[in-house]
Amino acid sequence: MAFVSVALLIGVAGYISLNTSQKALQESIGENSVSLATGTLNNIDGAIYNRIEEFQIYSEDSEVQEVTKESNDEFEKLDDIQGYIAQKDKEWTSVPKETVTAFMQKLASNEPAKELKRRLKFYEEKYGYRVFGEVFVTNKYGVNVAQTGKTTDYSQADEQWWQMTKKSGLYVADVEYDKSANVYSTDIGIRIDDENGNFIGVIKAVLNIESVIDIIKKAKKASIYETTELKLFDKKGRMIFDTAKELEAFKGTLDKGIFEKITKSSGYLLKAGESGEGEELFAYAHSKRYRDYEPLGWVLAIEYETKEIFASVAELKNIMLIVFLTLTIVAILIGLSVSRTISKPVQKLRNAALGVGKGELDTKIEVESKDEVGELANSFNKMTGHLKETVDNLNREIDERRRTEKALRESENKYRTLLKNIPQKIFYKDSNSVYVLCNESYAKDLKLKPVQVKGKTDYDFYPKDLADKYAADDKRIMQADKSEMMEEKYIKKGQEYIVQTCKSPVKDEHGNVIGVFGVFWDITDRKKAEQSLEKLNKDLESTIQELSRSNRELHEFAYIAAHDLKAPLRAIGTLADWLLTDYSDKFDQQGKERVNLLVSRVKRIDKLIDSILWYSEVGHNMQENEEMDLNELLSEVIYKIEPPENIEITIENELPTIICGKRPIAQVFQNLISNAVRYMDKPEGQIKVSCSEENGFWKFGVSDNGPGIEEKYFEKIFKIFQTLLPRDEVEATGIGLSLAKKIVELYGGRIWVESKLERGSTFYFTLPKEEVEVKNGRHKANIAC
Amino acid sequence: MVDTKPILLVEDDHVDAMMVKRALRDLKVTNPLVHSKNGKEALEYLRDENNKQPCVILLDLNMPETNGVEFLRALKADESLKLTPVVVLTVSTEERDVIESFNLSVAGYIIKPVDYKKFVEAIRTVALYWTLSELPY
Repeated sequence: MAFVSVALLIGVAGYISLNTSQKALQESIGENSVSLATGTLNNIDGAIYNRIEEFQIYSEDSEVQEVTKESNDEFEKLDDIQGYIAQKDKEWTSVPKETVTAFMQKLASNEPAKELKRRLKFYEEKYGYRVFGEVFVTNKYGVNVAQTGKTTDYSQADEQWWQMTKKSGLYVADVEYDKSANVYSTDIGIRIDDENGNFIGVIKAVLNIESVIDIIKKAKKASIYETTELKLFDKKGRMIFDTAKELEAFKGTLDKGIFEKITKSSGYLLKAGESGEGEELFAYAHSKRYRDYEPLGWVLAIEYETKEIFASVAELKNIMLIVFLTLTIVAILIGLSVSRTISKPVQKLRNAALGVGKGELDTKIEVESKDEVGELANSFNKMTGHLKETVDNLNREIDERRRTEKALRESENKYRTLLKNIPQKIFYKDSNSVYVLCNESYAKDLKLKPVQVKGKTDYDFYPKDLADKYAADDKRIMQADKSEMMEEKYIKKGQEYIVQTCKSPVKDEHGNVIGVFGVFWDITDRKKAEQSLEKLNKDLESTIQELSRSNRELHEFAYIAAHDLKAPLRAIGTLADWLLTDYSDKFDQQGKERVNLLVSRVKRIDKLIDSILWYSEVGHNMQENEEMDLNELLSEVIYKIEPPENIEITIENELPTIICGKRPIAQVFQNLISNAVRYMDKPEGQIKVSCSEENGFWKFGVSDNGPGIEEKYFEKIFKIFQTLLPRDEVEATGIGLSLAKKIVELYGGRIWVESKLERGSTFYFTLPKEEVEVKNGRHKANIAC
Repeated sequence: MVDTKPILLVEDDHVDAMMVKRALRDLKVTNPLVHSKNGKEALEYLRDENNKQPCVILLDLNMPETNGVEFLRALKADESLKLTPVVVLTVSTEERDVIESFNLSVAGYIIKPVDYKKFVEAIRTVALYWTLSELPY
């Protein structure tokens, strides 16, 4: 682009210079033309005046002078000069043109005429053409005295040229076409003066201006420019000769506009061409004054078509154009190549730089060349690389920060939302216990907006003593720099509540305590509940204590009762026995029987009392649990029972070792087994003790082949004092099974019976392993049922 | 037992006391029997220097006023009395009573059977034992 513009510049400069040179050329050509015109005109002038001069000289010729004077004298003698002239003239003109009268002939044959003819011939021969058309001399009255040929009329005095000649001494008429002579000529009038300078006559010569034309033609020929046209025109602007319109010369006038312009003696101008021709350079020169004579008043103009004269310039222009185009092309080419090597890369660089400026830091320039441009590209790439890194880092940091910010904002929002919505009351007071902020929930309590709470103190919201307490708490906490959790009174809307408050000291970054932060929530309900619970517990405890006490009392009572009952019982028994012993002779058989019955009943009561006592004792005197190898226990129990010989008691499988109270469990087994023994109705009694593990329970079984039990009694038998057989038949208290049941159930187990009438019964009871499990792993291995 | 030393019976129940007396008579035990109706009386007797110190005390636990245990305690607190052998004779099968009694250094613990005959057997064993055994004084 730059190169193109440079080329353009060059072009423009060239054009300007061309124009200038054109102008200069123009000027020079113009000047030259002017000179040419001037010169040519001078020639013309010279040519014409030379002729004129000759005749001027001839006018001074004695012959001419003589004849003229003669004529003048003749005429002066006349009376009516004018009349004579007129008459003669009339005669002259009435004769046909071709006719030459004697009169005329005489005029044409006198000496001057001959001389004139001779001169004419001389010139004709010299120059090859009839330089003069005719020449004649008039006297001072204007009538011909000598002539080379017939003139148009006799008197010339009335003609303007004669008068002009007379006046000015020389008169050059306008160029006219002489049909008769077929020449372009101009009449030249020369005054004849005598030696004294008196006007005596006029010579008129019709100058064939062919020489002038020749000159003009020569000038044209001589011109190097083809389009050169010379124009000669008179002072009126009438065309005398136009090389351009040779045949039409002497016709036409110069364009008025131009004519007006050519006022200087010489000069040139540019004018539009006539009849469609291009612009023309119009150089002109006015004829100069020739010696004493008035200038001819002719103007010679040389026209060149500027096209032509400036052809060289035009050519130059063309060359210039071509050069310029070439230059432009070259410039373009160079430019292209430069652009390829420099400006493209530079462009790339610029683009890249722009890109980088925009933020696209990934822009990289392909380094094609190894030169400075390449280096530049390299450095640029490096720079971009660094920039990108930096930007990436920055971006990462910004992202990080944004993320942190976002997280912070989110968390802030969360906290704000939390703070806003949390039902707990939250506040923050400064070191003077003035509220700095609080959350919605607290503000609501105070029937304010959080912003309204700011700046207030507890004294604004609570009665003095409560506010004092709060303030004291705050102070204490801030001084001790220790958080405290406390339960305290709180007043909301006039009502008293209990709240749980946690106050913490707030520290600034230097560790100075600047305020206290508090959270509290209503625990009135909870407190109430707690209180009720406490009360309940107390009640419960006291109830328990009551219960325990009453239980104890009961137990003691049972104990005492039992003993107190037993004493008289024993007395009865003993006394009855003594009666028998001491007064046996007084009793008959029936009497003795009755006393025996008395004793047996006494025994029964005793047993009953014992049973009741045991029953009431169970659960109280449970004894401490100890590890019991049930196999051993059972041996003891069986031993105590002393089964009769026909009853065999076997332990079917190994019993586990459990932790339990010895007496209660022993009691259970004892009751079951002794029942089995007591009720045995078969001659060969078999009682089997077994154990199994079921669903986390030890299941023990005592089975016999006794009488069996009817299903409808399965439940009944466990009731206290229930026996299935009349008491007289079997000494049973009816308490054994219920006692066993009580014990088993106390351990968390179950007791039941499975039986078939006549076949036998099996009493099962379970003990939950949890309760009785031997925790010591060592012993678990023993449990192999 | 030394024939002359009395047996101190601390028993509140009339019939029970009769039983002991009769049993001793049936067993032809010649030691005189001193019967205190309650612990207080018994202690008074024991503390009275004019009285003969018993060779053995048969003690019932279940008594009004000073019950058996209290008596035992008082007895064992008394330096001059504490060595006297005491055989508890009671209806209570309570293990805790047994333990407590032996804690208080009783020499034996007999549960009174309801059956008189069995009672006599028990007394006989006690008598036999204490005939054999040496006394601390």
